[in-house]
Amino acid sequence: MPVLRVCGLLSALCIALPLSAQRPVRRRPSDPPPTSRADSLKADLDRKAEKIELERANKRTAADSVGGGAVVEKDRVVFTLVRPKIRSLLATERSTGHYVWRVDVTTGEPMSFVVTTDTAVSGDNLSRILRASHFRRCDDPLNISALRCAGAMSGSARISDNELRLESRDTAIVAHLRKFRPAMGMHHTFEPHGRFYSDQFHIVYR
Amino acid sequence: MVNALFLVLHTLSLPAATPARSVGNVASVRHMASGAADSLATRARLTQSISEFHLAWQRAWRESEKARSANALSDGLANRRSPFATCRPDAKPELLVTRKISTGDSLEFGLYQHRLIRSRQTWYAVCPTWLISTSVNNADDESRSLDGALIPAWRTRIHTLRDALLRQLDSAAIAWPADGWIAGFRTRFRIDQGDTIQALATARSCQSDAWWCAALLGYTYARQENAAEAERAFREMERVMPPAKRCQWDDVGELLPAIERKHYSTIGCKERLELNARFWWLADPYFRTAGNERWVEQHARRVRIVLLNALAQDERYVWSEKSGGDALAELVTRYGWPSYTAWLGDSADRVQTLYLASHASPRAAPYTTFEYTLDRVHTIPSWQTVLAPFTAGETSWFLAKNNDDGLMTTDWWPDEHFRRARRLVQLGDVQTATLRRQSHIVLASAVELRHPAIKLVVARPATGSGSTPPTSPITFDVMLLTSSAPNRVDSLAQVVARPGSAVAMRGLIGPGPALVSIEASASGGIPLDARVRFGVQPPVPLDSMKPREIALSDPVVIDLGEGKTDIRVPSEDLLDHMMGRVQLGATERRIGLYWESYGISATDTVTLSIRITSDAGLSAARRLGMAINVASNPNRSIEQRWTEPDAERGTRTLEGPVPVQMRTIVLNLSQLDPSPYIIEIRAETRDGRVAVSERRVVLTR
Repeated sequence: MPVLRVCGLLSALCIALPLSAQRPVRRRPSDPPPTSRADSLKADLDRKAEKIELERANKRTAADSVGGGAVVEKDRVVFTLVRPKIRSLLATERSTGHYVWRVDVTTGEPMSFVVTTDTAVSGDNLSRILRASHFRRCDDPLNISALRCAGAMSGSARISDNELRLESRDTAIVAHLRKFRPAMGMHHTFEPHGRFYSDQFHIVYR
Repeated sequence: MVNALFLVLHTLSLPAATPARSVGNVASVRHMASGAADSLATRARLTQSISEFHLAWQRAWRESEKARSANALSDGLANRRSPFATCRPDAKPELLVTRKISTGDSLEFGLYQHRLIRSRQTWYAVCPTWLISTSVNNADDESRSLDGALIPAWRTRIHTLRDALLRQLDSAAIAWPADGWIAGFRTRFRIDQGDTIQALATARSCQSDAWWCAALLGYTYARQENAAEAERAFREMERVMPPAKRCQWDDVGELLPAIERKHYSTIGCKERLELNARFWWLADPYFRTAGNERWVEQHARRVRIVLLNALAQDERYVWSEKSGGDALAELVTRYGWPSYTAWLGDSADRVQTLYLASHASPRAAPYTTFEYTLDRVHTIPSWQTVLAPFTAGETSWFLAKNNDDGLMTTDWWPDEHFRRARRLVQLGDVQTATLRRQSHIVLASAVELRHPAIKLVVARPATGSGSTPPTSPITFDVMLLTSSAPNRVDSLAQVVARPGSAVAMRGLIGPGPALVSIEASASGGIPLDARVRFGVQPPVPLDSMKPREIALSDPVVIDLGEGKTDIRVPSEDLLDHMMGRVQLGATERRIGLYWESYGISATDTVTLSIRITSDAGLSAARRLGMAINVASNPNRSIEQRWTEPDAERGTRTLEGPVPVQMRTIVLNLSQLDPSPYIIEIRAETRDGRVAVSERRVVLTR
């Protein structure tokens, strides 16, 4: 479960904080007595611990800063989007509306496509929602609402524990990507009750 | 680049309704619809459009913040803002408050107080505080206009996108005129667009629930700073609101300190109605102006929360309660929308998201500071005052904190605050007396128009206003007002006075208890008001005194004015020379005292005495010294006693069913040490009837 993995890792991180904070402080003979500077030393320790925590978190999140990725092969492209880490994030409320996954590529000639249902849906079963969803290419990339994207495009979507995998063998899409070879893209997730998330992703070519 | 996201309206048949939700104590409009399934389908499309607009706005805002951050990082502002932006319930409070800034800017120097507000459901928290930097590049106060958070280059583009969204919402409104959710968004986005005229037209055309339409109207008037019309609309909203909803809507618990909040939560809805009315009456910043600005502001905040909570996320913040939206709602309930919200970038967001994840809390990025300009005022009194308003003293309200130069400071943070159009400051000491008349009471009050802020505007009247300095000297229009109940204010007297002068006013009031408010407005376009407020419980008038009962009025300290005031002939007119305070400086030891007796005629023999006793507490050492006769008792009283009638005394008598005698005396207190003293006056008739009254004065060095 991604939740457990994430929480487990962060629990360790949390434990590391008090441990490093408790590390004994080496004093030089010239240092003033600890009682006079106890508060400031403690504050220094706290700040150091905070810094360590931030550095570790930054290291950990360096990979997360790019939310997923795309692999462009000869005849297909696979977008692997990071699903939000807490499962409940993606379906917090049973609302009626549209789940929309949108991919924008801005390098070269812009390209956008969306994965969504033609009609609003009700429910929080993402697999079911994805089965009812379609790939639609946006004729006016970046400048059109997701629900107005109507260009034909083939593709399939499936969800796993921590990934949303969008695969397309659409020759036009693959050709577009191979022609302009963008290195990065953006994906956006819109939920029916108004929540939205955005992430950047890398694109690799094989 | 911001996507231009335009949608056309599609109506689809949908089976299910959107569930009702609420954030904090505020009702939601997510369920407000005409009830038709097609309306829900319309909303589904609109939700997508609005979300896409929100995303576009957020991108514009992120770019704006990145553009500002270059300067912020160079001067360490980001470091200062960090603990406020990534607010954590388990952070050490000193991380937030001990950030001393020594940039030389007096407004940036000091401790940044805050109040952490934590979500009840997650570890998300907000740390509202004062503006951490007084100047932010290319930002306007976003509490006045949301787009003020964007740099000018982005505002036009966002304006265009919002305009398109509004066209779509307007089309939807034609199809679904009774949909309150759509009406709410149309009103909100028009206000965000800066078009309050059209927003007003939209609110007026609302055909949804009557209370919600009135709420939108009140909100729009409030954003136009038309408090009187806003109050009228919100009164109508309360009138037509279902009782259960009104109970939730009117809940003032979040504005109270923790202990009082707990007490308030135990009170039932019916009892709350009366208590709430009293609460807002006491919180009214200025009795002399129509409408209660603070009450209006609170309702406007409520409506704003409902509007923002209409979707799980607004342009930046997640309002879903599962993501900590209740903390945001409490923030807005207590302090309104912030003036500036600093964002520290994606890295800081990731760290904070990981922190939340480590506590099994969902992410709520972007995380920002919530900074408020210093021109806020805290008009809500202590809870004790709410329970017993007529026992209120001058210190029952703490409006704001300023330094000796009259500048507002950052080293305080109240439970709530709001911004008035004019600065409001609290006047200091006041002297008040009540004198009995046949069926009424004369209320006499005097106060000095002294406050560092007044001194500041006198010294540099045009500072910050951009106006030309006034050619005539600054004066204050001062009013003496009383209020005996909510929505009832009587004006007793009005004078024009110079800054620094003592203002003495009097008027007739009824026999019941009342709240007295002396309110002074600066002239010459200077946006400064001053006030002092307290409760009085006057004695019964003469016609209600018992037969043979005698009584004394409050002794009134009269300013002898370096001998210019003649107090040899006692008269009510001496009240015009009341001292505006009862703290007497080293050069003010010689004072006049005026008082009246009731029920004693000119022929009655009466023994009068004046006793002056120290009111200072005695230290243990002093008490020990007194016990072994090595220290004197500073509380030893000085007494003067005499008997009347006495031809040499200038006592004046107004004969009637209950005779009134007016007396004066000159006191020289120069032999007394600086200390608080009680001046007690006692009258005893030959047949043993006694009356006593007293006045506390403070002798200072």
